[in-house]
Amino acid sequence: MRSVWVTRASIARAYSTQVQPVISSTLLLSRNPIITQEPSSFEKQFYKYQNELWRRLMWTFPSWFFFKPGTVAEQKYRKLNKPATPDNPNIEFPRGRPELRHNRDRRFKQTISVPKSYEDKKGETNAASETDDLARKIVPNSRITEADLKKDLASLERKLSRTLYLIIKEKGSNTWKFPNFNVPTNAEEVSGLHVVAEEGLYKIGGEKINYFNVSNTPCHVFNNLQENKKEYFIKSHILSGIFEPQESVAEFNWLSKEELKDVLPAEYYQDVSHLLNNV
Amino acid sequence: MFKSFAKPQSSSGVLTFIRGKRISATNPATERIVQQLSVLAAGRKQPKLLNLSNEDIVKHRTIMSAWKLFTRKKKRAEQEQLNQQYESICNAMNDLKETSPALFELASHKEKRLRFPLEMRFPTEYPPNRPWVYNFTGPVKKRK
Amino acid sequence: MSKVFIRQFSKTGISLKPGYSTVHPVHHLVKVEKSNLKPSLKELLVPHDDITSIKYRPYEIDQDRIAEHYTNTLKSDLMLNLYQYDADTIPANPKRSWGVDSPYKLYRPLKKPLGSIRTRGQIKPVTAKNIPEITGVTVHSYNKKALVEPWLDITTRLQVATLTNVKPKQLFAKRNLVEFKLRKGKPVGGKVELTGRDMTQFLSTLIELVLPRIRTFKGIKNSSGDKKGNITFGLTNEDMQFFPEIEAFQDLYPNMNGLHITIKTSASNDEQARTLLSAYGFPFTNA
Repeated sequence: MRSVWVTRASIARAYSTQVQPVISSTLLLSRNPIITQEPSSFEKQFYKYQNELWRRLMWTFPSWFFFKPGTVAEQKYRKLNKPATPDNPNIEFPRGRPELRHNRDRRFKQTISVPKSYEDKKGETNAASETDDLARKIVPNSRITEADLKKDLASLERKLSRTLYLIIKEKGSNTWKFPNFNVPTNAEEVSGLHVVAEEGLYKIGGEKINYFNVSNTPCHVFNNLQENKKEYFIKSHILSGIFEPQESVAEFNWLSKEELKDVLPAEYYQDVSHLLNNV
Repeated sequence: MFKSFAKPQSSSGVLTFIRGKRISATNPATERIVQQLSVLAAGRKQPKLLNLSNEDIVKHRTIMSAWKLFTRKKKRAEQEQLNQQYESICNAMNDLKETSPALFELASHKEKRLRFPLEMRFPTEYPPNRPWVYNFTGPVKKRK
Repeated sequence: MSKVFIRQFSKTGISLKPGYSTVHPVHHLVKVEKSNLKPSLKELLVPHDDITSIKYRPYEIDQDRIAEHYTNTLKSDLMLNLYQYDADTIPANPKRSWGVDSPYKLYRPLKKPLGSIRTRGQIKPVTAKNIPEITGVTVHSYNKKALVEPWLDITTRLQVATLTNVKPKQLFAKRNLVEFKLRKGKPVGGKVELTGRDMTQFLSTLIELVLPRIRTFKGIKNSSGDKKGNITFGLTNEDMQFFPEIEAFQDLYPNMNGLHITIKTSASNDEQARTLLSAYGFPFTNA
């Protein structure tokens, strides 16, 4: 806490002889990740190792309970899961004698194949009928979207595994920045920083944005000495909807932390980098 | 497998064994409960104990300590960032209190019930068919 | 030859050999678990996370998307959301003494806390170091029909085991109550305590698959909680069919029983815990 008080005092001294700074509210609007992160190769290997150990130490699957003897399902199950070789005193087993319990060799992990719920249609892809068919094969969507391939920086569907932040370029300006709105000074009723940010967002991006304001409390202050401005950061997440740039906005992008580093002014990025999500 | 071997059957007072013939010792309802118990119980379902060689134990311990190092490093970095963020919040609020007490009042006002929106979902392994919902009609006055 | 009692650390018994005990007979005030001293049970003393232990089980078996989302996104949001300027620690509200001026007051059971029936721990302001998190989930299924039909206890425990992938602990009736047909010591269901991957697996099933499909479920009550940051809610036996583990095998589980689910958090009061749970996607309602 000590350092906080020290900086506070220094700020007060610096402004004592100057004009009152303009108070403004900066919107840190982020799109949360939609898919999980890609694990590193070490993580992948570690999880594989642990998973194999886990499977090795698992109890035997009680198939007699889930597949009633004498049913079609049980027949299918038995066809797919052939019992392992039983122990035979007359046979030599060079890699150890099998110990079968409930058709599982208890020295190893048990692998179970389950009957498919769909028919494999080779080479036949009728998209229209397949979307409605309950017995269709489930194919996961690609983790890389069209926007990634097109390198469309303004799309909300890019980099699904990362947190993206909205940055804009105002008309007549040449620098990228987070959307920033001045708090009106002559208004009769004072409106909070988060309200200013919300109204400003609707003004620059249209009203078709569903967003969640995390708190009324600002999460950061940036002293813009060049413009004699105090920028308070308001954190929020876009949940659905679309950012439609209005007249005042020349360009807008949704960028991840690394991309912001290249785009934002170095000093500005240095000041706010700890607010940005690494994921 | 949960049927017991044939019990001696008495007919006209003389006990007769039928060798190898299995009969149901219980009624179907009891049998079902016995089967349920067999799912719960460990009997005959446990795998063999791991009996690793010394070399494998050393390998395992090396892997685990590497993992511990990795997670500790990650956690420390996360905590460091959180500390910075917290300090940043404190800084901003202290600054705001000096700059504009009216705005500070509004910024420190808390709703009685802070709730996150249900639209904030957990990330999934693969994206949904439509990764982003675009058709949002307009701002709602009060969000829950 | 006279019988000699040899007192060892691990056992006491008659020894046929002449000799005397080197250990003084001590009437233990501290309870000693003799199995810990017995040489033949040495392998039980190995810590369970060691691979040579017979109880070893790996836990970090895959990527945990719920925990990752919490650390990556929710933690920082919660810190900002629960931040309070100049917040002080609110002292605990414990049970109170009646006074010490008479032996009657001294040995009387303590007075209930001020303005409340239940006690409360101290509430510390949320900083970067104590952001609330979910520490565990208890799934508890008490089947009162098992008092009349004892086999229902097995069915209930199997159901809990299927839902949570953990073998439940046996629950017993605690007291004799004639009107409820309660007999002390009768088995009445099971409970499991979930942590780690089992917990996140259960939570994600609950949040993403089960609760959205229950039509009558409006949300967890805003008044729920034990004042210490643990939130409990219940699911009825009709709601059980929505669990995907049971959905396809409903004929195998004809006698379903409801659950009590307690979500244990590290939050110091219930309101913070509810905020945390809402971030996880649990709906809350006033009704």
